[in-house]
Amino acid sequence: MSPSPALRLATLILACDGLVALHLAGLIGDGGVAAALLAVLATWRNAPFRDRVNAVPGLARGLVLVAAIASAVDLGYLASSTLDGLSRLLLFLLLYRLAMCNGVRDLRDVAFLAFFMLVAAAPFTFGVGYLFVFLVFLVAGTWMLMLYHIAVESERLTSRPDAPAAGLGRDLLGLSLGASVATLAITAALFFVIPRIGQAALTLRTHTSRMVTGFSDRVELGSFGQIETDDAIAMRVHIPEQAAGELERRPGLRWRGVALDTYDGHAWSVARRERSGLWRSPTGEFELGRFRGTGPVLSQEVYLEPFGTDVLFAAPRLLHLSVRANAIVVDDTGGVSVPSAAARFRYFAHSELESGRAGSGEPLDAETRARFLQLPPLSAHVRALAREVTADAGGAREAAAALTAHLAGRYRYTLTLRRTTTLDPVEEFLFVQRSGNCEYFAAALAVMLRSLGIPARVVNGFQRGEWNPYGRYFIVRLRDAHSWVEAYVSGGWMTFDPSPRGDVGPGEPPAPVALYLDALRVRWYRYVVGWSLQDQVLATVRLHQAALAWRPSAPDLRAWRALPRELVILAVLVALLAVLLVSRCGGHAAARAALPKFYARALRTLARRGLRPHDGETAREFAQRVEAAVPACAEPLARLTAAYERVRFSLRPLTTGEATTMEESVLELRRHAGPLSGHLRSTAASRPPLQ
Amino acid sequence: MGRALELIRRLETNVGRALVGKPEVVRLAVIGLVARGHLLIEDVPGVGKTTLAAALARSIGAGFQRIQFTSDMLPSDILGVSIWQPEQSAFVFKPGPLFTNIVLADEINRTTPKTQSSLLEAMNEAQVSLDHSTYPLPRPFMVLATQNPLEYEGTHPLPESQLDRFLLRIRIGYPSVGDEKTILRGTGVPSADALDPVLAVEDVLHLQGEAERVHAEEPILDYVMALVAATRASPLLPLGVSPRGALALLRAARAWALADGRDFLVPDDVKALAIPALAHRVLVRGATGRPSDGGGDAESVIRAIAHEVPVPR
Repeated sequence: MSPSPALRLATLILACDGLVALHLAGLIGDGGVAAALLAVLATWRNAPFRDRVNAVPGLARGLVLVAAIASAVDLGYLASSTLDGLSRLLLFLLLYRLAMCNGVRDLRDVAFLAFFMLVAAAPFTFGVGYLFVFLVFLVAGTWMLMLYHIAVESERLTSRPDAPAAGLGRDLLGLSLGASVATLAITAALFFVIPRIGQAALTLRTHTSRMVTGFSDRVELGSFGQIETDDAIAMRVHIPEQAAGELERRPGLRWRGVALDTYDGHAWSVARRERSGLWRSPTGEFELGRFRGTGPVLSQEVYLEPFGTDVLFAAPRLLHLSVRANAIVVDDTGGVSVPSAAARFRYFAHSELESGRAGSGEPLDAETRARFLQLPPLSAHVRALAREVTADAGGAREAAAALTAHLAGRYRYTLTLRRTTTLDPVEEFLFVQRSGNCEYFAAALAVMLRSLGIPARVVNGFQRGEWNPYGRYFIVRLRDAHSWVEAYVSGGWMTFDPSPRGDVGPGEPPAPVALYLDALRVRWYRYVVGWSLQDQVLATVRLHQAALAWRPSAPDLRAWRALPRELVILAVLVALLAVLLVSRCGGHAAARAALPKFYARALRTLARRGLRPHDGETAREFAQRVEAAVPACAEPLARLTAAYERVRFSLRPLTTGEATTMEESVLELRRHAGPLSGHLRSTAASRPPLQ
Repeated sequence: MGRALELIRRLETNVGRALVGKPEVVRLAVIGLVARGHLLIEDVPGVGKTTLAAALARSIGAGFQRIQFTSDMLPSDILGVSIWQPEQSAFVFKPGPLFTNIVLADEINRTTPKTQSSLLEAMNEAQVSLDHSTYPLPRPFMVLATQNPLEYEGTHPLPESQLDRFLLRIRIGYPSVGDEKTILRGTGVPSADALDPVLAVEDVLHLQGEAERVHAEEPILDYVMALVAATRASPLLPLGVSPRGALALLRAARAWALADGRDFLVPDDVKALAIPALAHRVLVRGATGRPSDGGGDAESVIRAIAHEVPVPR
């Protein structure tokens, strides 16, 4: 009584698919998923193991009991979140079912468990990889369910679950491929139409694998050293409007995060930050600054990866923010954060870039000025150096520029940070090591500026990153983390970057394929994971406008070119596939259509009574069998059979009158062949007919 | 259409008067005639083989000859012989008993293979070639052969090639007790020779033409092919059905449909004739190798095949 190989194969594919889904969601690790996959594959030959376990009385039950206790302990005390414990429990159940598999129903349970794995993984994966896992599940799941249905039905009929031949597997796989494509097409349409639930489920599991220092209220000097070798992507900044060439000419583009005002000799921190919660305006957006008209405005669409910070990055000076949150926190140095950003975050920002011209010209009030001039007890060498470098400078702005040039020209950028003296870190950097990372450069510049009485602050953020021309966005990696200085000169805060690191990041530029794949990932996130109510409204409005503007004249066809090319290609592919499927099914449909409807209905009626013609049974033989079983059906069925033979084998259609007679005959058959009335009717039918 | 049915019914009724209680056998014999085929009637002695053949022949107002095959018979005894005519100074062909419409070849397996094979051309092509001349046989032409499967003493089994030329092989079987008593009483059962013809030659030709016009839809042809293919693929049958066999089955099925009052084929026609039309054309593994020996087995194999092969719906 072992199920057919095709059914088992389909189930194993489902199980492996579920495991990969859990792995993608980070619910099981690399080693765990490899071991589990091997174990799943090993259960292909489970009979010896199963029989050995079953041979020992109570062993199977004992195993389950032990596992239940272990799961309870795991859920209660060990697992970092409930879902981790649940996914381990799912994994155990799956392997146990597969190992002890004894029939088609066990395989069905395995398929359900695999489904739960996919469901568990769904809220925690943003990757396009999940799409492939899902597609595999759709195809294999459809295939498996069909095979399962056949196995169960044939088991009921013949008590032989292996009745479907091995060849069935291949045919059904083709069928399920077709069904899956159709399902996908329908659900895709539904997906873009049904209302969003947002990212409510994402907060269930706030655990993130990566915590990044450097974007908090207190930053030790040198803390960026650890992350500046990390290739992981921190965010992607999509530039919807500007031309790429213009951006290339703007090398100083940076993504500003937090500003730090207090230096204690070892670390920069925020001493007196005034934070205020900002609620969303009625238009759903946050206004952060006034447009001064001094520089160009840059629109950015940022996809922030969950790397353990709640800071929102954008090019300075931020004017306007549009983010899916009810409130944001803004501090008085221009830093913006959201209360909880555990998941990938998407927001729009508009910034007014610096143009080099002077700001508003208002001097800082005394308190603020003192805040940005704060210094710990400082070595006289540092003050002397600052004065020496700025001896020729005319004003604060020139002084800052001279110091920046001095640091950038005379000092070396390095990521190998070491301390050899007990001096103040800035002093050691300036006079002993003469090399350091961006934090040292920024700290040194800020300290020297403050020693000269120029208000300054250290800003942490990211440099520009690599430009991806396929998706029109910057890929910003953790290694792009950067520190620079803002000084209050000429009546406004201006950016000074003394680090000679420049804008050239380490490593060679990635291959076009990698860039293209990354662009695909962004689109998956943008148009599937992040598909929002706003997008729906916008799409509807565009559709509406397109419908209104549509004129079926030849030049208007050019408007179609405005559609995304991928969408057009996809539509063409789907249409082709549909045509192929229809034309292939067409042959079957024509063959099947030859079975006249009235006879098909009669057969269905009798099938409900348990009477079905065998393969090698002709219509007349079947009619005789029915007559023996339900004599009352003999008369209508004889009429139907004769008409069926005529329509089917001489191609002479029924006249209207005959068609009516057939309808009546089918109804009569239905009356007599009722599931319960058979016996009663058979006695009644022995009487002569009334008319 | 209606006339064809009426003619067939009349013929069946007439033959049925002589062969009591065997309507299905009578039907098969009539079908053999309507389908332009030859019949091989095979059964134990004394169940009415000769009666059936004679009754069918007598019911038609056509020429009828009965040839009793014996072991010393020569081909010329059947086909005829050219005799020197001194008056004309030439050999003149004197036709043998074969030159008639219905030939009853009684106990055909009693004669030598040489004489049996002289029947071959006549059965297949309805003509006789002798001494560089070809003589056509009259139409309709039908051979009704009888043979006795159990009697091996002094018999020569028919070769497969000759068996293949018979459209149908019919077994009669013992009559039921009631029918046998009727026969014993002898009242109302005329002897075959006493029957009056009910069909003229033209009627028979008309029926044969009608049978050829019976419509066969594509699925029916597929079904015939499936049956034939199954005999070729069966592990029990080293020799399957030949294309001639497939043609014979279809031809017989058409006549069956006509006898059933239809001008189109249904799967039942084909299925009903699978055993009489195919069983004598196959060899069964494990038997002595002679189809006539393993006849019973061949029938059960064909029956199983007909039961298994899916019917078109």
